[in-house]
Amino acid sequence: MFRFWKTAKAIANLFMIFLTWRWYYHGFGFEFSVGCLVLSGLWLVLSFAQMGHLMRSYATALSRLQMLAPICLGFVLNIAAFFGTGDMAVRAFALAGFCAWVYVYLRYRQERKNFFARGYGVLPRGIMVNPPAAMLPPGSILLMTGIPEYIGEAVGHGEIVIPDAEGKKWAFSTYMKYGVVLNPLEEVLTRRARRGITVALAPTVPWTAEQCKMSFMVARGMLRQNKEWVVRERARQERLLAFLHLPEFVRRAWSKVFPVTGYDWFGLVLGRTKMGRYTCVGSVQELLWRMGITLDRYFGTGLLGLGTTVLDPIMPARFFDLKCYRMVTEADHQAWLATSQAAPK
Amino acid sequence: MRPVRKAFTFLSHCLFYGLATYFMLGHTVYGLDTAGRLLLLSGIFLVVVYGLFNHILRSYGNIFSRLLAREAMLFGFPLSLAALVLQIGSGGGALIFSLAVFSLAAWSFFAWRFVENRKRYEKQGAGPVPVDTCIKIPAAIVRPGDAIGTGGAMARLLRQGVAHTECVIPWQGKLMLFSSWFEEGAFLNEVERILKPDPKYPNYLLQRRPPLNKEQIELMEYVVRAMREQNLQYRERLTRQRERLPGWLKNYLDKKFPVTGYDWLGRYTGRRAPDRWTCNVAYLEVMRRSCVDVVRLGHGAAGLRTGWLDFPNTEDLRGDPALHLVRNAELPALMADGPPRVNLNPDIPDFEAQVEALTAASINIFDRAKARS
Repeated sequence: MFRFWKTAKAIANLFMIFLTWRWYYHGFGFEFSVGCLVLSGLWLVLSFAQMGHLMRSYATALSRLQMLAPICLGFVLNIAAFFGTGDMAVRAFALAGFCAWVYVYLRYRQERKNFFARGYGVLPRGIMVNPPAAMLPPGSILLMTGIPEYIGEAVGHGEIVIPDAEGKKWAFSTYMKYGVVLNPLEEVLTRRARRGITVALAPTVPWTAEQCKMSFMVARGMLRQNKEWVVRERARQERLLAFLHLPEFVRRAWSKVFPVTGYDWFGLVLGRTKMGRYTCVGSVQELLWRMGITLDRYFGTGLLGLGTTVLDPIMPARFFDLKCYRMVTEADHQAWLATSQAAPK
Repeated sequence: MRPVRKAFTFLSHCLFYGLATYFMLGHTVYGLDTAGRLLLLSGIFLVVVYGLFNHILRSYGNIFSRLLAREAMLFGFPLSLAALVLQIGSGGGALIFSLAVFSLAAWSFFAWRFVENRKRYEKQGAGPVPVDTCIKIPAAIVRPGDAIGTGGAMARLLRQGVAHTECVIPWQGKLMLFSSWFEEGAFLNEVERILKPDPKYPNYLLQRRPPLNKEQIELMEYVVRAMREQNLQYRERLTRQRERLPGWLKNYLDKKFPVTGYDWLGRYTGRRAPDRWTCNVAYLEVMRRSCVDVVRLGHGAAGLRTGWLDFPNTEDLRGDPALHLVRNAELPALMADGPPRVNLNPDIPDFEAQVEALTAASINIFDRAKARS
């Protein structure tokens, strides 16, 4: 159903953009004010229809744009409709439309209070920033300051917490420089806290002992698959460069531009998940898939949700929208502190 | 390459039928006369069959490859012949005449190769399988990760020797078969039950070479347990959803698409859903989740990854370089020595050592960073 709604909303948005362009250059064949009202009304319906989803995913820059752009357009259209006619009925509709947009804006302001500015973007209010490793249950998704800082999102990198057979917690992810990695959780959180922020999402249904054991096995398997791909791809690239008889400096430049680290560089802009190479959050989603944990939605289904994986990069901030995960909050931290202090040493 | 091939086939068909309609409406392109237009249409299919020459011959067991070849020949021959006759009748230029003769010769060569290739197959059950394929598989030679193709209702429908896939898995200390059935959804079966010889339902074995390693085999059991659990939850969820539907609609859906855990939509689309599968997708999922590199099928029409109108076929699994079709001639050696060791990376001499080194370097990267500093 998620993909169905994604497709429907994407088509509706594209259609509205087309209608707006059409109205701007050719008009609708109505009087100017009526045209403004029709367009504003359609945008209003679309904004109401997707408001819930957009406010839940307010942490992503695209969702904020999808809210604010129609609001601004709606205000302008209704003001233009009001002053562009002498007809009282049309003016009354323009006024009503303006009030509706004020209501949408007020709701937007109201919902915005559930978030606070942090780093380069916003985070849900109450979320625990830089949580200690000990309070994170297995399966927690870590969202961290990362690459897309400049596109207005507080988090841009994702990892997942998995325990090994001895109960030691590890952070599993894919790095641009190293490909798939497994690092001690404590170390990852300490290092990240020095130069950014980390927030966590915990699974609503805690992982079973079997899932904990399986997660580490899957992670090891993915790690090995990734390294096998790296070795094969490097050999393939070397063969290609040797075949082309390129000078040494060109080969070096090639390796700099297209380093084979195990990171899925195309996936960074596409949103695809390949068998042996991933992006950071792509590897998290793939690990959960392989473990048989059904998520309520899967990201990176591609433009219009058609499954093409084209132009639909998996943004870490979208994980806030998952219903099968909950945020690790300050309140959780307080409760954890209380229990850990009360527990006998 | 697979998505590119699909895109090529799809776009060529669009071009052929689009141009054919355009010409039938009385239009022309580049001022071509009737013979030229017929030759152009024939040429499109000629490019398709020669572009996919090896693929069509290799995958003769697959109904869609046979259909593609026959469709191309059905249109290509008459179109070329008609172009030649028209050209001779009108006494036109030598170029079109030569091209028509060349086109007819090319179609004849393709038809000859296609017919010759049929000799490499024999009919078993409802369709062709390669000559000497072992269709009475001894249970002793199956290993975890192998795929067993079986005949049955789908094979009859598709006119193929086999069209259902079972995956060999380790289960509570013994080997079992895992698949997704119309009647049961994700389902475990005894190996002997499926492998019993039956001339109506031939089986063949696609043996994984090299065999899976210990970790992958261990993981496979966990994967199948998780998949069965997911499938069960899906069935419960869908049953609850159906209860809320009007009676007539529920009865209709229950009759046409009973809640068994089988992916009825995936049967026609080829999609990869998280908690319900067709038999072939179940095999691919078990492999993928067990971290085994496996051929990726179900790219969707035009290879656009939409998962539409492109259901994975058991015969397509033969395109996986790690799956080897077992022949009768190999049986004695397999029974005696087990599957041979196969190196899938012969051109990378120290492949294993490189992989081990990279794997070790990717566990706790901070330790190495500290050491370096």
